[in-house]
Amino acid sequence: MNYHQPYWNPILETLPPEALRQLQLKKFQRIFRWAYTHSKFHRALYRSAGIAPEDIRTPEDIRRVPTVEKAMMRQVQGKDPYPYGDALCVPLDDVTVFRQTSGTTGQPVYQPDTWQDWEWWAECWCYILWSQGYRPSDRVFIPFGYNVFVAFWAGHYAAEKLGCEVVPGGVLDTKARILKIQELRANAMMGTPTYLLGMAETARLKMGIDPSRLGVDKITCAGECGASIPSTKRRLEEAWGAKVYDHAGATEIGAWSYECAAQPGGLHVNEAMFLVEIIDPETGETIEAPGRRGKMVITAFDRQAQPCVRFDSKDVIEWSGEPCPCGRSFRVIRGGVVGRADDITKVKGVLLAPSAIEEVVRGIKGLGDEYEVVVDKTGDAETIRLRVEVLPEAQDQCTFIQSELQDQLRLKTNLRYDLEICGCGTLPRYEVKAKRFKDLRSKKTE
Amino acid sequence: MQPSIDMDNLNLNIRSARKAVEELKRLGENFPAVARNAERMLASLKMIEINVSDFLWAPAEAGTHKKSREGKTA
Repeated sequence: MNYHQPYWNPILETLPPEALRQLQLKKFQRIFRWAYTHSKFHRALYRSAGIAPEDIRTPEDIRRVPTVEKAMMRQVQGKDPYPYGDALCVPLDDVTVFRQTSGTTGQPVYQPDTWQDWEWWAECWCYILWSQGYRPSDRVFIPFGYNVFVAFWAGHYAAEKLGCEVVPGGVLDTKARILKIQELRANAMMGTPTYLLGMAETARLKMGIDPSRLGVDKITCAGECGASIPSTKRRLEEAWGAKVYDHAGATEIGAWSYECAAQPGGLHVNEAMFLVEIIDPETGETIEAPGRRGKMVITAFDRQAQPCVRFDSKDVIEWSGEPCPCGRSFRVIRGGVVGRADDITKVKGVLLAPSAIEEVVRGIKGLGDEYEVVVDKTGDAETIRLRVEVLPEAQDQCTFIQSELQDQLRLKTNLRYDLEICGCGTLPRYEVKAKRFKDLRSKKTE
Repeated sequence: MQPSIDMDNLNLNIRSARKAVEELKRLGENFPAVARNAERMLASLKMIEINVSDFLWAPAEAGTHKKSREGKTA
């Protein structure tokens, strides 16, 4: 086998755009018919909108198909066939694995998968890992608590499928995981940016180990958008001495995008497996032009047990107009997932994306990796309190750092912040997804 | 320069592999070790179809999902 082949699928990943659009239409027709035929939930939704499989003839017809939101899935679930309800498209006997969403935005959603769906999850991850240079000679350490969350499960199975040697770092604590990487000379890793930064800090400050000398040469991130935020990516790459790649996926969708080894400043959408539409939240129109942000509506073409057809993910993305030097024709979303529609909030009349604050904090030398943002309201006045940690070696530069931080925040977000400088190690640390943004205004209104 | 790939030949082999594995599954009706492993092979075959046959739009499979009554119950 030719391990120098740069593409997992040399045909689909380089397909001319017009052929790709035709393939997507046919694949959409197939999954739409599947959902319509096998799921009572989807059939009722489509009938109420007056649309049936034979009505999907052109890409424009796809836009008439009603979107599905997470809240709708929550309503369907908990009923028979228990616990998935009417969106289940296969007999319960054919479900081989259960997962659930993390519940970051509310009550978790259950996700059933057949064995074929699970093969498909791993297949999507194979596109990711192959493009990032994973090959059978790699020993991949996965420091993640294997549980009901999909997280890196599919990454694990995909790495095995590629022929890598996988080391599951399940129940080990952070120190034990670092020692295991050292002992086995693992050279690749997967994790959330938050956890991997914390892991590097533990190695450095608590174990006297320089993580950049452990021999890890590539890291695949997921779960948070950090690895697409330039300052966070830079910190991760410096801390570990490794190339850091982002990918975006979700429990109810699949692993739909990936950063290739060329690191083009964004993520390729796997357009052979998914249809990504960017919708203007104000007008509802589809955005095809590069550089205009909108929310993502996504379809997974080959997922069967609980299909994902025009799912309104609330992720905020924009197309890049630049071709990627890697030669893939799959379009790139610039800067990865830049936020979530329900995370972007208006403060003092200005739209604020938490990722913009992270970009500033992690871009300032002397500040630690952790931060916390609290938006509050006193009378009519809204305030933003930003808590950051100054590293021990930068304590004598506190005034300068504070001034630089305030200037950069104003420049990047057009807002003024009440800054609180904390001692190193005082802010909360997170194992998986971090919760650094707190909006106390809604609690006061309730 | 990418080497040329004979997609038609690949697809032809995928079709015959599917036919053979579906027959294995049928023959394994009273032989769980055969039937369940054949079921898994069909899932792997489906991934090759997604990568190859879908491109040619010559779906090799007759139905996209076949239920098996063996195994766990609700």
